[in-house]
Amino acid sequence: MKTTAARTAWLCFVLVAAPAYTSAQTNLEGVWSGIFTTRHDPYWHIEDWGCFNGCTDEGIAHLKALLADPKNDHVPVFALIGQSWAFMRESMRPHVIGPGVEIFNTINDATDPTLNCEPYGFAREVVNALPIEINRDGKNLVIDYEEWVETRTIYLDGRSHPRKVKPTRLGHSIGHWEGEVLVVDTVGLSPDIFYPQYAGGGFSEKAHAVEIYTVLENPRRLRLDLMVEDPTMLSVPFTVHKIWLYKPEMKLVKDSCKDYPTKP
Amino acid sequence: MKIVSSLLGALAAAAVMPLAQAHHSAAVFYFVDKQITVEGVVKSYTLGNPHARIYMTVKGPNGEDQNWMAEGGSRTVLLRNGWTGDEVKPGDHIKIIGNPSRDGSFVVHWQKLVLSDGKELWGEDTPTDSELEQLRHRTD
Repeated sequence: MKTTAARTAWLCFVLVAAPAYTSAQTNLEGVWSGIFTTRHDPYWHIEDWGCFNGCTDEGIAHLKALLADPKNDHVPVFALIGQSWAFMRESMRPHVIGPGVEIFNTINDATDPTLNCEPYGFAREVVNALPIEINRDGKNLVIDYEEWVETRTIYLDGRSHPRKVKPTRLGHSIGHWEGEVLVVDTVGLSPDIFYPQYAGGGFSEKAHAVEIYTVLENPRRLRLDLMVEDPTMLSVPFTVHKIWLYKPEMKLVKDSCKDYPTKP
Repeated sequence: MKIVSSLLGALAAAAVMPLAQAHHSAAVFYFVDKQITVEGVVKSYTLGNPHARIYMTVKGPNGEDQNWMAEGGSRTVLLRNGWTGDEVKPGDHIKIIGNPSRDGSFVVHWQKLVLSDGKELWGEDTPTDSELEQLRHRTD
């Protein structure tokens, strides 16, 4: 099966590559951010900023090529980043199938449910740019997202996914360590029809996600490799990666959309 | 009509380039190679989630009222940058400088606000253009 083969290849690639960029640090606890003061951090690079919502390997290579091209010396960097996002989105277009095609072709501001205080679905939430806080709860990890004030538990106590999972926005997640790398498997996701960043067509209740979290050099950075496969919406798995910086001084802001809606 | 368009840079990408606001993903598509200035009177303003918005009345080319919506940075980003929700109020005459929508609707993705007293506010989630350029050319 094309999807299974692609997933296996992705897992092998990420896990084999991981030791090359890990340090002795394996503690994921703390606050991590992909925005705000990170632009002043010496370990924060332009491609990290350009990929705050995740980039494909091809997308980040495209961005680096644009930045390196002397013809673009006078093009604002924001415009080049916009081009790389457009490149990634168009790269996904041939792989969007089924009901995802219409979503891909019709997304616009009016159909964005977030403006009606409808929180992100799984994929959009886990790569969002706002700070996250990771804490230990017994054997498990809890991730608090500033974005939409969402919380999820990564079960590390050896349990399996329930045989029947009631679909939820962030699903049911179990994890294990592969050396210094945390591998998280998530099922039980409710449909996420609006993931426009690059995948465009959203995800169905058949989506299955694997996240690989790797702590990088000190000052610590956190890398996420995300793969979502969905035989209903995509002909190949959707894969992106992104970076957060360790920001222990930051506190998550827990404003709810209901209290402070966008629409007056 | 107080809408001025200008092309930025070398127009390396003449094709449509979607721009996502910093965390808002690509909900709104803008021309990032273009910048417009929209000047009008504030009808309402919310420093809301997921993004701040200003609704304003702008005089069109024939003197007609146009209803514009300007959308800016994320609430929590702007809060950290010192915004309070009192930046503008209904009746204020302001300028919005930002990117136009690609579909021609009266929507602007603001980057900078010029308030009625002339004070300028950077209202994006993103670093300023000069900060991004510094990041681009950093060699350490």
